[in-house]
Formats: sequence, C-alpha cells, structure tokens
Amino acid sequence: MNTTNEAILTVKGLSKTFGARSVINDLDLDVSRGEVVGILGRNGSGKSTLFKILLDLIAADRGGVRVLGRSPDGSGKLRGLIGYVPEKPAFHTFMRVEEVLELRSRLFPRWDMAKALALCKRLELDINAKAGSLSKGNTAKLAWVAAVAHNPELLLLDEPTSGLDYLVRDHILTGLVSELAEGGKTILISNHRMGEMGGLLDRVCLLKEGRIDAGYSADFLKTEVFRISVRLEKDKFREGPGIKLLSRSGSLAELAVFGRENMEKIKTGAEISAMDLDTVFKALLGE
Amino acid sequence: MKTLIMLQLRKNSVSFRTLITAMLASIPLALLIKSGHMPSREAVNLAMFYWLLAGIPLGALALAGSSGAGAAKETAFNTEQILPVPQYTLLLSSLAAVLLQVAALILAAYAIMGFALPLAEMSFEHTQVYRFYLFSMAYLVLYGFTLSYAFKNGMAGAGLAAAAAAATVVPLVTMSVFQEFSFKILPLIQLKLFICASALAGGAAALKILSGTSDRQENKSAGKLFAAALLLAAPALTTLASLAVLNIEVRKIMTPVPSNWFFPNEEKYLPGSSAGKEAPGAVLVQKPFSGEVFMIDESGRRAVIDPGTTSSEWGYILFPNLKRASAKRLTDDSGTTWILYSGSDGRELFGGNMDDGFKPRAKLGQTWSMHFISGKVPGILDEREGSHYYAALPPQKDGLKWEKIPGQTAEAYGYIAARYARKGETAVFEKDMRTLVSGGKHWTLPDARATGASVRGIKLNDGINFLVPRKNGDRYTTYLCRPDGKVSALWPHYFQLPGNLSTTPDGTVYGTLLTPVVSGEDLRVKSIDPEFYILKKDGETISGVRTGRILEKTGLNYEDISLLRADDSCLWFNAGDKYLVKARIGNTEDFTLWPLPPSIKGRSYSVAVSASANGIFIVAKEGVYFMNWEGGLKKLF
Repeated sequence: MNTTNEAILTVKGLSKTFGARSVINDLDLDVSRGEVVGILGRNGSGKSTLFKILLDLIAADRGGVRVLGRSPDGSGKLRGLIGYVPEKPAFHTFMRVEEVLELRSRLFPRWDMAKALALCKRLELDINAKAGSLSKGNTAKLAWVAAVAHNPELLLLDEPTSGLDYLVRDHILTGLVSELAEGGKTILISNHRMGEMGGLLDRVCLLKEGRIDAGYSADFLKTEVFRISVRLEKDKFREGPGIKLLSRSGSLAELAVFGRENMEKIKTGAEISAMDLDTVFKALLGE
Repeated sequence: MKTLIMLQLRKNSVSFRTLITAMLASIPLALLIKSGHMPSREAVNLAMFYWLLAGIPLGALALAGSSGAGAAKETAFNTEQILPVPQYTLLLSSLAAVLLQVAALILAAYAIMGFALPLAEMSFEHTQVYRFYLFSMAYLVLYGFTLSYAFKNGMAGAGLAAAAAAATVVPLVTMSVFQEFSFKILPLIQLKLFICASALAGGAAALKILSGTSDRQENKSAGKLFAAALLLAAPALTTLASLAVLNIEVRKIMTPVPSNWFFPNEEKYLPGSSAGKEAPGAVLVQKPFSGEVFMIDESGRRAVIDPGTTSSEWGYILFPNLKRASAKRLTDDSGTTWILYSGSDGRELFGGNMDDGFKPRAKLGQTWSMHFISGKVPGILDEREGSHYYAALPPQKDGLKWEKIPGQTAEAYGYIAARYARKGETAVFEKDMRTLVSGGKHWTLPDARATGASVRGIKLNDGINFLVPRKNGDRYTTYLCRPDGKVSALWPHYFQLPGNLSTTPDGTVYGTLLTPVVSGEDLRVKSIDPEFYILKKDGETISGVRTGRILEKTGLNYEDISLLRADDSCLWFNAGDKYLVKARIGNTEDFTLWPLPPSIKGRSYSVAVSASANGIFIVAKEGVYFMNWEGGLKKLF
C-alpha cells in the first residue's frame, strides 16, 4: 500500500463516557495518509463511538482530534470530506436509489454523480428501486456508493461486512476496497472479525478497555506470530505481554506467541507452528 | 437548508395531505348538514372557522409531535445525521417544514373564507383569542416539536406543548382584555414582544441545547438541562407572573369617581341648575377592585360612602372583576353635602359631611338621567320613562317625594327655571330675541340671535353676569351682560355656558379655541394650539392665551390641557394629569412645571386632577395626593 508520513488523523488523549460507563479512555491514535488501519475490538469496545467522534457526530468529553487538518466542531463539514459506511446503513425508504444519490449531490461538496451512477452499474444496483425495498446486500452496496462517490480522502468503515453473504462481501471487499487502497486512500476499518480483511491492512490496532492497547503491523502479524504447544509446570500459567493462551487441556496448553523475542522465553522442544490471521486476531481479542 | 426543508416536507407529506383533504372534505359536509335558512357561504365560513379554532391547532400538534419524535429516533440518526450538515440544522429544517405546512393549512382556511374572518359570527372571546392566533400556532409547533424531540414521544410532547401554550396565551388574552377595557397597568406591548421573542428564541435555544445533549451526546449536566427547561418555561412563567402582578397592582388602584356613567353631564338643557361642582376641599375616590368609595379632604380626613366587597377568588386566574361607581355632589347652604351615588349595589342618595360622615338617605330607582338643582331649594331632577320628576332635598322620613313635571323637555325646563331657579340666576330672551331679562333687569344685545336658549348666570364679584353669544354675518361675538345693565363685547368667538365654557372652583370662567398652526405655503397643519379665553371673578378678561410652548415642553396634546385657577398675575393649568403648570398672565412661555404622581387612565374618562381653593387633589394610581398652588406635594392616603 502507498503510505506517506503525513498524519491524516491524529487523536490524543480522547475520552468519552456515557453516564457512568467509560467507553473511550485516554485513547491515542495516529494514521498516516494512504494507510489502511484495522481497529480490532470486541463488541462494545468503543469502535463505533470512536468513529462517531471522528465523524463529528458526537462530542468527545476530553482530548484532541484532528482529521484532515480540521477539528470536529459540530458543523458537519468533516463529514463532507470523509466517506463513511455505517454498521447499519439506512436511507429514506420513500426515495429511489437515484433520489438518494441526488440528495447527496446537493449536500456533499465534491460529489461526482457520474461516478456514483457508474458504481451503481458496476455493483449491479438498480437506481430506480425504492430504498425501502432493497435487500440487506443492496443496501450495503448503496452505502458504499454513497461513501465513495464524493471522492473522500478518508474512509471510515464500521463493520462493513456485518450480515452480508459471501458473494456481496467479496464483491465489496476484494473489489472495491482494494481499488481504493491502491488509489492512495486512507482507510480505517473497524471489525471484530478482522481476519477477512486479509492482505488489505497495513496495521491493526487493538481497542481494549477504551484505549489502543497495542498496534501491530500487518507484516508482523503474518510473520511473527506463532502457535506453540507446551506442558504447563504445576498447572500454572499467566498470560504476559506477547504471550496468550489459545487453549488448554489439563497440563497441555496451546499458546500464541507474538514476536521472535518472546519465543526465546519458551523452553526448547515445544511444538511450534505458524498461525492464520483469524486465529491471531482471536488471540488478540482474547476469544 | 432548502434541500433539507424539501426533504422534511416530503417526509411529512402523508400527514399533511390527510389534513388538507379533511379540511376540504369538511366543505361539502358543512353544506350537507347546515340548517335550511343558513346561507351556504356562512356554513362554509363556520366550518373553516372551527378548523382555525380547533382542527388546525390539533393538526399542528400532530405534525410537530410526529416530526419531533421522529427526529430523535435512531432512524433519523442513521439516514440523516451522517449528511454533512450540522445536526441542529437538521432539526431546524424539520421544524421549518412543519411551520410551513401549518402556515399552508391556515392560509388555505383563510382563503376559503375569502381572506376575511367571519367577525359577525365570532364571539367576544373568539375575537380576543384570534389576536394571538399566529403566535399561538408558532408556539404550538415549536414547543410540540422540541418537547417531542426531548421526550422522544410525540404524544407526550404534544400534550406538554398544549399545556405550555395555554399557560402562556390564556393569561396574555385575559391581561389584554382587562387592559383594553379597564386600566393600563402593565407595559403590555413590551411584555407581549418579550414573551413572543422569548417563546420563539428560547424554544430554538432550548432545542439547540437538547440537540447537543441528545444527538451529540454532550455531557448532560444538570445545568444544561435546567437551562433548557427554563428557556421553555420562561414565557409561561412570565405571563403567569405578569397576571399575578396585575392582580396585586389592581387591588391598590384608586381612581376619581366620575359623574358621567349614570348621571350624564348634559346640563346644557337645564337652565338654572348649578350642580355637581366639587365640594371645596374634598374629592370622591374609588378603589375599583373592592368597590370602596370614600371622600377625602385636604387634611387627609376620610369619610366612607361605600365600604365595598371582597372580589371573587377567581380574580387571580382570570382577570379581576372591577366595580365602577359614579357620583354627583351638591353642597347646600346648610353645609350638607348630598351625593347621588351609583355603585355595585344600586343607586342611593347619601347625605352628610366630613365631620359626621355620610349616611344613605334614600334609594334611587332606574333613571335616564339625574341631576341636582341648587336653586331656591336644593333638589333632584330625574328624567325617566319619557317624563321629568323633581324631588326636594332633604328627603322626607319615608323617602324622596317625586313630583311629576308637566310637559316635554323644553316645557319641563321652562317650568323648572320658573319654579326652582333662584331669582336672577337665569336670563331669558323676550320675543324680539334682542332683549335679555332676568330678575327685573334687562339688557339689549346687538347683532343677531345666535341662540334663543335661556342663559345661565355666572357669579362674579359684582354679582350675576350673563355671557351671551351673538352673530353678525359669519362672525360671532360673545357679550358680557353685567349687573349694572351694561353690555360689552368680550370675545370675537362663540362661547356659551355650559356649552363650550367651563368654570373653575375659584369662579373663573373660560373657554378654549383650537387654532391650527400651519406651516409653509401649503398650509399643512403642524399642530393645534389651544387658545384660552378667560373671564376672572373680578371681571377682568384675558383673551387668546396660548399654551403651545407648554404642550411642546410636556409632550402633550391640545386636548390634555385645562385651566384650574387664575389670580392677578398667574394662571394654573392641569397638563394631562401629569403636570401642574403655573404660567404668567401675558407671557405663558414663562412657566413652571411640577410633575404629578402618576395616575391611571381608565375608560371612565374621569380626570385625576380636581382643583379646590388651596390647590389640587391628585387621585394617583396608588394614593391620593394634594399639591398646593406652589407645587408643594403631600400624600393624603
């Protein structure tokens, strides 16, 4: 992926509480232009809240946010520069697809109607269909068109494949996202099943207890994470940084080890194997 | 914003179309169910009238409630908030759409009525409500929307909005009606402007706060929620507080007791009567809220005529129920003051004095007009059922003895003059209409007759004089007929007592001529400058006294200035019940102003200032004052 050092997104000390519940807690995040970054977190970890703050839909309690050189100010202008695919896309049911796009053409400053219609054609989306009659897959397609047709510099994708069947997911992910990433777009994807993002990601950030607990490059996750089978001494084991318990049966255990240096801590003779990305992500989430 | 409003209009289109269809459908329904004698136009107007009164307000609440609640739903968040516009703008566009739709409904109903309200079919209460109609509709929509959004429930929001509107508009209506028909106590114009502004701006500001805490999930501090609640409640709190202030203030109000409600002042047809002057050194005062009426003198001594009653407890919620009294007074040679009194309990004759108080002496029945006559024997003249009756004072043990006076009006007055007038107090013309006779004296007047009516005498230092207007071509001259038989031309205008001449307590007679002051060559009237023509008790006349400069300085109208007193060198005027003015005879631009305590103007047209020998009584809004002729002020009560 083409990346530069220019920070397109900077978050410092971000916090947000809802009532007594702290959802985001002193979060820091930097994303460079052209990066494709995955935000990995369990349900309710704050991924959507983070996106809503970046989109200037909700106000942070504390902390600084700069997106595309602007701070969220309630004016909604940031949303004109960001392409957003929500977890549950929704459109006015009484509008046809074409009317949905026309509405956006009047509100988004850089809207490209020709591009929107071309995308609809490519995704096999009927522009005369009523938005209220679209299937879940077609609604997702429309959400994608709405997100990219105004040529945003930054894309925020919130659980973009949630509930979609394999064909639609493949259509969107492998086709569209790849194209966008190669075009130098910066993409932030939140997903609790990051495995299906596969080779798209440059970096994965683990969102845990309201903050970025760890960040790993894609290369690291592909090459520096190992599965080890061990016998535990006196049945005791405590997870450490870079070492996570995958499974256990009596004194026999399978561990995920992150980084070669951590491998050195494990006694020789252990059975070592590579891990697929799904399992890596599950290990990171503690699933 | 236009795009968003069009979007919201489209969202509400089903509800709106339903309402407009129902409105149009009510036209044939009205024609179908109208009574046979009712014209079709009237039936349609009535249907639209009730749409305006009930249907459209309910429709406005329904539209606002559903829009407000809809704007708070997750669906709205997902479909609209991701658009690149401020979330508050989305709310405003939704609100604007509802306002436009309600305006369209009102306009449609108004157009069907032919762009004119059916005022003939409207009750008094309806006409008062319609003065606040547009504001009430905007209020209902704004509050219905905001409260529905806040509670995320259309029904709850609409219900609360209706309650808030009632709490705001009903007191406004009652205060407006009260001040229109009674007294102007509160600065209602400024109050209405403030309430309208606070309702509309405050509602919008509250919506912004709620948008922040709801859509943008800003910290829901108690301060923010309290601020929003206060902004929404402010108009209702203001009107309720104003109504409370009105009720409190009205209890304190005092006004002079007028003589013109049930005892009309048209004494011009009663030669020989000299009735109703203020008893020297005292004034009648009423407290309209309780109905208490009392007389008070220069020393502050009070004598109660009517103790009044406690007003209805409902006066706090609706407007106060006032009691209006009317009275005329006459002090006879024995020093007894008689009062023809009309109060809330009916009409009575009172008699008494400040030392011993006043007692009711006789009941008075229904009358068309009633006057005192202070001729040879003081008495009462009563016109009722087309006839005149006379009763002498004091009343007998069993009440007033009424004597029917023969003849119709002119004959009756002639009978009265002959039988009851004191000798020499009235003069009449002989048949030649040039010779005036009275009490054995006669005067020959030049020019032609301007009036043939009998002439009431005026008592100057040298005796009874008569002022008589005469005509020469198009011009008039008023002559003075003196006790020594001489006739002299006084003023080059028509003046007649009691027509356009008045008397002051010190015996000065004066009339006012209104002279237009014109500007430029086009003779455009700039102002009206009253000119006073004055006959002092010592017989000295002063002509053409102009008070333009006084009016300019006080900012009053020509109607607001009246003469109170004249002595050797100075004249005193009442300027609009706001100032006592002392001016030099011969140069009224040299004057002194003394401001008077503020009095309250009601619809009784009574004057708050009344002169006595030593100064003036001022029945001010919250008290009775006395000011001497040099501006020294004291509060009597």
